[in-house]
Amino acid sequence: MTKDDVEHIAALSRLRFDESETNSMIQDMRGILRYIACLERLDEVREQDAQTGAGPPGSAALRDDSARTELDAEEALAPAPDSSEGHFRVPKVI
Amino acid sequence: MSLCDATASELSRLIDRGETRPSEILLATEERIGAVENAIGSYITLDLEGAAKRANALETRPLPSEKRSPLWGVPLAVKDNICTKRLRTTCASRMLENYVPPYDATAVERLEKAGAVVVGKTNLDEFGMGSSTEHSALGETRNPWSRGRVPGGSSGGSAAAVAAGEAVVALGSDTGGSVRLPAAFCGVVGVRPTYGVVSRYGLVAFGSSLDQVGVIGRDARDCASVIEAIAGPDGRDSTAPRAPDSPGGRSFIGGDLSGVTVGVPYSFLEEGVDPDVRAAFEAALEDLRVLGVKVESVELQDPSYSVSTYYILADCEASSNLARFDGVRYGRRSDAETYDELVTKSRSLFLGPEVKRRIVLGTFALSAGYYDRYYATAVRARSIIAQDMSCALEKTEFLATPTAPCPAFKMGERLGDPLTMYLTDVFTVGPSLAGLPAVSVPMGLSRDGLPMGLQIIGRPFQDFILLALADAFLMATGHNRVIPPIVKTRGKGDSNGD
Repeated sequence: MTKDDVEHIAALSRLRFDESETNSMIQDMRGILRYIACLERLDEVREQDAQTGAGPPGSAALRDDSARTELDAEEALAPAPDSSEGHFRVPKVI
Repeated sequence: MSLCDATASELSRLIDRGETRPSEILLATEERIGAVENAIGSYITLDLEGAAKRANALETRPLPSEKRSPLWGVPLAVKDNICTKRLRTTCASRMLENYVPPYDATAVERLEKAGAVVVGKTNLDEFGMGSSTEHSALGETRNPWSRGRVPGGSSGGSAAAVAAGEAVVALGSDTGGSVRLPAAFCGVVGVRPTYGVVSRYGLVAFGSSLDQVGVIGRDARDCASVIEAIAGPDGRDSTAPRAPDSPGGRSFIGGDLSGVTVGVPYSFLEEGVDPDVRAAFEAALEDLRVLGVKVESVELQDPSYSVSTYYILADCEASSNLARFDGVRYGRRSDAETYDELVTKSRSLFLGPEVKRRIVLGTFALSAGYYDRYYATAVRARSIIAQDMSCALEKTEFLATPTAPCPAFKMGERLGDPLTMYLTDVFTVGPSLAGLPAVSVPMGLSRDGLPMGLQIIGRPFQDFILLALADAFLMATGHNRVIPPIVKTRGKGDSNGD
């Protein structure tokens, strides 16, 4: 984990760090990644038993596809920092 | 004993006999909050006015006892990452400091329908990310047993509130141990139900394949009453397919435990476990044997694999889930000329350091060139860990470990060392990865007078049977009947002592 890595990941995450935050992030990440490297051992030892696939056991429940009343636009927009005429408002994008 | 120190089932009996009523129970709880809240800080937001209206409304429409839930009129605290309509829900983040949800979480809606009275919203590690509640951006929560120590986390406010009599039961959320760990540190009961029995609608997402709404109470019966009220399918969460199995003939309450088997992975205790925790755990196993339980040794994968797997998966999911906090739809916004700048500035200013650390780790583990090495490996490891626990639970009906390797640690002690903080969860992340129900019950006090927790893990959907075993243990040992010193002093109006 280098300074370039942290800057790249920060950009992907839409975060910005100053120099001291970047330095402490590098130290923290190095320690955590060193610890979690133990998983590579588990995988090698037991790879033949592993089943890929995300999520815990159990099936998903589907509901009937029927119309129901949920939030209206006004309620959904109420917590927004800025809105106008039934829409979220942001600075010019294009 | 004050009404606010009773269990919900005791209060229900008093209500049945006409010896108390919801407004009187609430008043006792308010008095306790007045006496201890400044010293403990369980709550981010109190809604005593709303609670009083609710208690009075219940009294104007009394129900016959057979139609009343045991939670009718019972003061409830709600972790502040669970949405409450018209009551701000902050996730202990500056990002959501002023967020007022337009809807109730399903769990809250169902508890209010059962007659529970929401007293307020409790403190947590920001977005549920932490083991001590020190990562809250909106205040400090102290352990009611020793104010220099953490209450555990991330549902630290909920556990402290129940321990100190500031609520009778509480909702928390448990991703990797966030209900069980603070329950252990604060000397109360904390349950993580089977993944999929409680709807997460209205629970602010952290790691969606792991998050569960959990329950904190003073005994196992109260926790069972809450789960009974909140569990079951909900059209608004497709990952909540069904309620737990009914205990049927296996409700051990007052019954014989002979034939019940509990597996213990003794290798977990070989290093890194505090001697007091180890001694209390051995004593708890002996208490179970006296009740007729057969305690057997089982082999499980080293728990360091679970910790590693958990922190990769949870943080990958968090990095995706928290992308929604962009300063556009809700939360706070920073001024900026462009959209990109608005998003980056808002997130950088209003998300806290631990949340950023998790987002960075998760984004890194999902990024091009590292995905297979970290995320895909963790997914495979998760299936190995789940199979491993499932095999063990074929041999024995339950598994038991300490909830945490140590009692509550001192405030600030682990704050500068994220990895050491993560290792507090060493015993709780396994059941989370496997989607299993698990409960932490008090198992006595350390030499320093701090509570310690026994974790019992059950088979999927056997939540009520798990709680029946927990109940039998607590009825026999009384470990949940010990009251924190602050309640003994300040609870009686002595504002000098704690």
